Amino acid sequence: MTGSNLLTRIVFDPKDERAYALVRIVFGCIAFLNICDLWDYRETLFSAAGIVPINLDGNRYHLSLFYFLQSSEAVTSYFLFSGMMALLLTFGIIPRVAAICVFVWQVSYSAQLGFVTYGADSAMRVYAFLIMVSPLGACWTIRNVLTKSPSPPAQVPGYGIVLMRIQLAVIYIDTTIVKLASEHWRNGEAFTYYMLSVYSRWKSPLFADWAWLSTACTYGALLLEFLLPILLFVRRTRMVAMFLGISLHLMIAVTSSNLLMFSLAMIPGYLSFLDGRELSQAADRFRFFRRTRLS
Amino acid sequence: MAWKTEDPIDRCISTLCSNPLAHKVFAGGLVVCFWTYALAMATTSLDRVASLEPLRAPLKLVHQVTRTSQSWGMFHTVPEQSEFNVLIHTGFKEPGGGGLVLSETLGPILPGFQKFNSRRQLRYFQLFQQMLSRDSYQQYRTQYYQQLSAALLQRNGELENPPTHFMLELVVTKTVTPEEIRTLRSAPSHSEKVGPLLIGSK
Repeated sequence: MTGSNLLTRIVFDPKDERAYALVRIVFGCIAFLNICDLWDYRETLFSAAGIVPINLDGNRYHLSLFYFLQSSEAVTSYFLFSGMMALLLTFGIIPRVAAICVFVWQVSYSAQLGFVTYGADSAMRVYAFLIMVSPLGACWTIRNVLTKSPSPPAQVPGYGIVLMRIQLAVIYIDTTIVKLASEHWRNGEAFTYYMLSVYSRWKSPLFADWAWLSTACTYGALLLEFLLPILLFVRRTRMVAMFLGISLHLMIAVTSSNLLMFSLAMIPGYLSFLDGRELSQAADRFRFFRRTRLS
Repeated sequence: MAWKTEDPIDRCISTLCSNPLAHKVFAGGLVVCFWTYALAMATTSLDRVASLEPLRAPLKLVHQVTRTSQSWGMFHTVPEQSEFNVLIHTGFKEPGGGGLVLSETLGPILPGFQKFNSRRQLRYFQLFQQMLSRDSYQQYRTQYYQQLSAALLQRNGELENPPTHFMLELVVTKTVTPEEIRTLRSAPSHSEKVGPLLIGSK
């Protein structure tokens, strides 16, 4: 196989369309929850009457619809419209149009918030982009469910799934490199600082006493973030890696008082690692479970 | 390869690509875009590992064009604030350049001067923590003071003796080091004050 053939094959390597459908559904739900999460901020951070009446990014060339939407009513309408688009994406109704609208929403609010954004916003913006350019297929849509059309899942080009997988690996590689340069991560104190900060759900000086817990959690998280990209790409360890990675994010969601959206935003990346075989196994198990429960 | 869809945009692309030449051009474009984006993603961390700036600059452009610029620190700088609050005090300035004679204490959120909870309302914490403390956000700070001043002027418009000045108070509880927390059993709190600033001034 020539080099150019290999480059082309990776792009068009067929993938089960259910893999895209699963990412689309979950991402749509998370984008909708994120809009609900931002709802209370719409007047104070997005309208002209708010705290700072310009976009906080300060970059005039950013594509942000909030430049044109200054009144409270216009901002509220755009929130409602974007929420509806996120739901349409989830249900697979005009999914490409919905995916474009959700991506424009992600870019617009990120540009508006500027330095008030964090990892969840970046992750959602990147995945919105990747979903927008991916084949969306036609399975697991509301129309499919209502018409009960049992056509076998089609094979579609796999480039979107490949990019989503690379993206998740890049996130962990980058964060590991950055954290290794930090003194607090190297000496095992990062967890104590986190648990005593405004992000913690249970702030207590006891976390400063339990140095062993901080060392274990800091090094454990660092080791996991280092290993995840490798474990996810090896088929035999993939499911274990998904379990460990999602558990890590669930732990962050449980121990923090305000980082639930960040933990949720990482889930679509993990789901992109499920391929046709694993999805079929999961569907078989679900059917078996339903049959045994009904009987 | 099947790529069935109900979406109008996808239907449009399928129609355009029904011509074999257009199909080839589309497929070729897709391959180029895929590898450019994949390379741009894969090189996100390069400048942290080695100095490969000549390669990095054009690939960074890809992220800017696609609006997907990336940096994945995720708590690489440990959070040091244990509590964070901002209060707005309004009042009259003492004659002879003294402090502020308080008339009212308000929250910093506009509109409505609401107070916020730094643990529950992460965006407000991030906004005030960065805007009020970093030199690089001076322009936003100035704009916020102007916005605040205008809102106070509007709020106090019907009062007989409206307050003339306002002051910002940042109440920050900071985790100094875990050793100090072990000794003190709580994080020490301190406050910084900005002002008094004249209401209605630019």
